[in-house]
Amino acid sequence: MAVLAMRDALNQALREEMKRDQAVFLLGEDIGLYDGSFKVTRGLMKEFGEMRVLDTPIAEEIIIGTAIGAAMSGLRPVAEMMTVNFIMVAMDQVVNAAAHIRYMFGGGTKVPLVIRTPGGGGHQLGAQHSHSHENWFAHVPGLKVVAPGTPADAKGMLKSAIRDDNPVMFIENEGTYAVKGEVPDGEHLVPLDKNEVKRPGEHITICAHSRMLIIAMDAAAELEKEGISAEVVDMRALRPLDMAPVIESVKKTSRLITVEEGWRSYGVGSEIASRVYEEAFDYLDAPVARIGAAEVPAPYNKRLEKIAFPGKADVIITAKALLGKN
Amino acid sequence: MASVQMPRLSDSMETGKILRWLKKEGEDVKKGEPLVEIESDKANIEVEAYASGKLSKIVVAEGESAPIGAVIAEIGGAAGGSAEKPAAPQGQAPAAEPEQKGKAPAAESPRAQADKPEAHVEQAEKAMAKTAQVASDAGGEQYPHGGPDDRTEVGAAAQAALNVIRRPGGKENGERLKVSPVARRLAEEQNVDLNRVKGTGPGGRIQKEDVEAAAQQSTRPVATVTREATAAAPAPAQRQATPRPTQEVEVVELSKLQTTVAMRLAQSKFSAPHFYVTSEIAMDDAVHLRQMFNEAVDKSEAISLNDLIVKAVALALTKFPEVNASWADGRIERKRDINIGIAVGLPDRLIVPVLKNADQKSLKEIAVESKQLIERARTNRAAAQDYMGNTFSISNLGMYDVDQFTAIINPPDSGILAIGAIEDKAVVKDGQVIPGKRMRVTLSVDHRVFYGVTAAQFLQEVKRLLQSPMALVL
Repeated sequence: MAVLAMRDALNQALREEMKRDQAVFLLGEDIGLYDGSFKVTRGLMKEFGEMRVLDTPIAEEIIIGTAIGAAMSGLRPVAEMMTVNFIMVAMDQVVNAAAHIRYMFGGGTKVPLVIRTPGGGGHQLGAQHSHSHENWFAHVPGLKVVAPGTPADAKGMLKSAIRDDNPVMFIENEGTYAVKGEVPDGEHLVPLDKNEVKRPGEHITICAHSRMLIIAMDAAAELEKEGISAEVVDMRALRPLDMAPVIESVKKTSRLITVEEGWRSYGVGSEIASRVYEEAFDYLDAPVARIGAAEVPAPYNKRLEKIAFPGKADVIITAKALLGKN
Repeated sequence: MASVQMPRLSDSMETGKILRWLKKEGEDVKKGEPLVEIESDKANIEVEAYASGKLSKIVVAEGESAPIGAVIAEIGGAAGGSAEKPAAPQGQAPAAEPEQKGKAPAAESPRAQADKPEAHVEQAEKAMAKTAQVASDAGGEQYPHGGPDDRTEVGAAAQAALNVIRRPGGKENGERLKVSPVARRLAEEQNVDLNRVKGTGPGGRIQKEDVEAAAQQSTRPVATVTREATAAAPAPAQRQATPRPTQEVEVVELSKLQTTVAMRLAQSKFSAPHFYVTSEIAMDDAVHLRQMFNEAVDKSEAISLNDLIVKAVALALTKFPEVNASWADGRIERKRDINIGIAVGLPDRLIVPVLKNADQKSLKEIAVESKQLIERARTNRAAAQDYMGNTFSISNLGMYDVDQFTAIINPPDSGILAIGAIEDKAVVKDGQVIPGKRMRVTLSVDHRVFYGVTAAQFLQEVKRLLQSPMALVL
């Protein structure tokens, strides 16, 4: 088992899958010659050639459209959107085509497509480069949506996504590419529909995915010092949404915080909270607390940006408030 | 002298590797000239000098790595030997320097750049590196983009969640009891009456722990009060669990006094039809008056709030002879004297020493005499007559943080006033919400002796006296 940065774990998954299956190919902006904006595809063009690693024009709709056609024709494309903020122009392809085609053709064709794209803010990149939109895709039947928060899960879920016969939105985060962690060598597959407890605890449950998982783990470590034992559930599988570990956890702790980097309204936390009210109402001791980004377009100003996105302090203070400790 | 630091060349970079120094040690370097080639986690980038002078020392050699911010070289003095001269004037910016050497990309013609797709990449990276270095120079800022997660105050992100959690509000009259779902379920399972559970959650919500605590309480063995009471300012009661009886029940024999008390209370409660009238009294002035009074007199003569109440009740009784009366076998006996019984709770018994002719005594006399009376009672040195002759009684549980309660009439009286704690409350005065001190008193009445309106008017008079307490001093 090697310690790898998230970007290198993703790179390893791509390399292994490309070696394993000739049908797998990559396309996107700057992913070949430039090794990718975040260096996830480093060295792959050199290794697999220009036929399997395609540098495309800046035309997201064409990238996704091409990928869908290739997938329907039997290939397994992995398309990269430089950030999830740029996918808007391709939404018709993602929703009306990729998500619906298999159903509209009565199962006669399938779309084994992976769209890799990072969300996340906090880098002073302004409102058009800083948002998280996984909830939009998690709303759509026909798509699978995952958002891993550790290098091991990133590798294992990307490999599973490439092998899946459905379109998978593989949501990464700009703030986690350098995060390091142990990654199993070789064949390491993580299911796309299983969430899991990443840190066991007794007093309060914290649900988070992607970069917020790291924030939640940090917050839990600090809460522990103050005698508050928080259970952290990684919500890496957003659609289909695996609620089992959350429900089980809430039955134990009776209190829940959801943390996401996107806006609260109509967010991932809203869905989790609704499911908890439906499935574990009689176990709650307090209303579910949802933490998300401030309801504004991400500010550029550094200080404003800092208070606009969730941080460790938000989780800690909210946890204490839920437990009546401040 | 300027230090050259390892710049942050990408947001995710942690360390950078020196690929090539473009200047040798001892060579002059001008601000803006390419100085060193660095490999970041993203790409290889040429970094320009941000100061002019002699490259006096290369700290990190080619092929070695250093973390962001680490000093990789020193540039000492200005070019040409004139030390400590500030950076070259703008007119000498490197782009305008004709003698630029090497094959730096900037020297290539725009056309050459357009033909070479890597060129724009290199330029962009250079711009990024410059941004990073400028930020670094500006104030040693380590994180030009966003920064570490060092915020300790809550941000906008959690404010909305906190607003929900901390939503104020308590139980108001007729309002539904606030109980969390899990608490409600537990209460049902464990047979806990939620009306008897105090909620400790936001807005007084009854939570899981509250029900668990209440459930535990009810299964504890009978406890006794072991603390000694004083009428003045008792410490909070410490309850100590007594050992569990070995048999099913433990038989406790009553003392003679306890037997008498039990009999008399039962007789009172079961023969006199009680009714109750409650009133809330503004105690701000009384509290203030007591304070002023106690500042003026010797400590041995200090008055308690109870003394003020005794005085107010005694004065009110002078105006309501029908209250200062007894039921006597089908007739009513009105009393000439006004003697106030003061209930004193002791660990093993309840006693009611009587302050005689309270209406005729000054506050100071009441204070001194009731102190002596209570002390005698507490130490078992009271004379029989200390307990005799009461015409009206007062029972005060205010010091035990009781909001209000109802007392059983102390025979042969026809009324007893139960005193609750003085609470700091928000009160409305002249349309403004202001802090106020409020005390709830409840009058228990023998309905055979006098009726509701009299009871209410008597309470009004007590209230008037306590709210205008100068009348008690005159």
